[in-house]
Amino acid sequence: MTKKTFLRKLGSKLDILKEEEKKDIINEYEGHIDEKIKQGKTEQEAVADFGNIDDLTDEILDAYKIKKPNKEDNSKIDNFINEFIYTVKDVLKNIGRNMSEDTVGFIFKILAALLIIGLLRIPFYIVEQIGSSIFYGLTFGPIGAVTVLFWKVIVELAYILVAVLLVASILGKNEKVNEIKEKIINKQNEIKKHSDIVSESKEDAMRIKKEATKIKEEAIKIKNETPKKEEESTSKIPFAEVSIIVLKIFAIIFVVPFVFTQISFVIVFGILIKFTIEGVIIWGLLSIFLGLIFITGTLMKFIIKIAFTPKKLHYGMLVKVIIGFLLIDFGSAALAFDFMNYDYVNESPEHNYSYQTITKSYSLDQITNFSYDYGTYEIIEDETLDNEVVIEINYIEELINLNIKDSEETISMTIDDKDYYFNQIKPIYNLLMEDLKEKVIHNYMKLFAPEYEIYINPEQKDQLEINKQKIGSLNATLGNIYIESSNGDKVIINGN
Amino acid sequence: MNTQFKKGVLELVVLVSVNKKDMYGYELIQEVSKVTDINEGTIYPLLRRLTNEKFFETYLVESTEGPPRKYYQITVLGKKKMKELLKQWDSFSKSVEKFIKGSEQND
Repeated sequence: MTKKTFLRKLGSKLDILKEEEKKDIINEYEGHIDEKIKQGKTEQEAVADFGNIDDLTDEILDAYKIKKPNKEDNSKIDNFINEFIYTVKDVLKNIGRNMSEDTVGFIFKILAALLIIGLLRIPFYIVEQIGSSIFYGLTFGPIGAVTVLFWKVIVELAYILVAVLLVASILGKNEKVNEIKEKIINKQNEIKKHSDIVSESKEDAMRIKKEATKIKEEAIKIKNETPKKEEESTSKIPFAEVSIIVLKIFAIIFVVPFVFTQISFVIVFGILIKFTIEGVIIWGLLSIFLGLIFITGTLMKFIIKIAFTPKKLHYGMLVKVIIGFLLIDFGSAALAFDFMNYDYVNESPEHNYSYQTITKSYSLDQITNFSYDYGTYEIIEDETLDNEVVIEINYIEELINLNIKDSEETISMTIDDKDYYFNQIKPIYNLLMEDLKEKVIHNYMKLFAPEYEIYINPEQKDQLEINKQKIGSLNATLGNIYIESSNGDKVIINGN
Repeated sequence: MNTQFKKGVLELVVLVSVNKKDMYGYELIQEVSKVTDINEGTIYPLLRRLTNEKFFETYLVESTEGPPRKYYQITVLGKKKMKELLKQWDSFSKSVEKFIKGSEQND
């Protein structure tokens, strides 16, 4: 083994020590090896003199009274908590030097516990919501409601359990034993005080003596309790294990939505890059999505790190999140600025589609009602017509399906829902790209709007009623997508 | 020699050596090696522990060749500890000697 590999191996095995301590140790060993080389030994020989590197690290850690990190996760999370406690304690100590370390430690522990409980609420809440909607989607009516309630109760109980265990493991470390020891000392002092008084005043002697013995008994009782409590704290390990497993499961569940979000951000970013290549550069959006990718990526890493490899958390993460937020801020400003330079034209963009024209004529004896759901109409007075209405429809057949129905009294024009949304994406994309290059934005929805020209005799104008059906709003529940019209009718598009 | 036994004595030897004069790690190992052969690696953890327990203080001295050397200096507490160990060693070795002599006479 060369000096370099030896020092690197040593460093990685001493990872749980503080950085400066580690550096100090490595420096010392490096110096030692250098001296040996000066004495005429080779690097390999000098390193070999140290013997087995594992035994060596064991001994170094032993000098710190640190047990070699266990392979069990239990000690990992303990290390993490200790590291966390140590760091913040350090900070707090600097803030309040005059406070005693115990008080600071205790305050800190409570703060840490509250923080962890608060953070813990988030994954539980998400799990609860997701579970509820799944159960509600699978089962209907009263059964669904009961299932959801049952689910919520289970999740809440799990949350309370994990929270209590975590708090217990944070606060419970030696605290109980110390507390009891302190109590005993206090009681003993009290007894002493009382005995002093006894010697001074003979009047209260009997009463105080009785009190003293009572306190003494109490002290003994507490003393006897002490080992029991110590036992309790050692038997806490299985609980800790359970809570760690639960934490891990929740970490995975918590990370899943982040993964999907991240994927969609990356896709959008990819599309933006494609825009850029095609000559449309929107710096604001690029910056915003890059920032979002940074933040979600870092959060994901953070969650995974906490649950699986609790180590010192690096400032790098914080820096990344800050960079992410800066990118988003910058992007929003750039985007706003960019849009100020765009012109909005409330007309359909120039396109190569050809308009289809349909002309229909009806007798006003038959038809009294013209109804349409989307588009514009224009009434054109034509005195040559008598008792007749002629409707000229202009629309782009490539983009929409127009249904024309004439029932007893009504002509109804509706745009077909079928493939409605999918047909739009491609043409809008192409036209938008053209527009963006020229910094213009059109009203793209006008492409899908039929134009109706209604020719009618001005004297008979009142005989035809024109009404616009409100276009349905798109609603979705789990498994169903339906369009609800203004009069409350529902048309289910897909599903049951 | 038994490792555990050696370890106990090693602490005493190190304390005595540093008490004589301030030393850096490599120098100290040379010194200790005169008494007993030890794994060189193990002396550093021991020095670290003794420093952590406030028996030693350290200071750095620039060296003309290579990195600065870390010198170990004994503290008042360290001197106290050394005296205590010496006393223990004394009585221990005396009683062992006595025991061995006694068993020789029985032979």
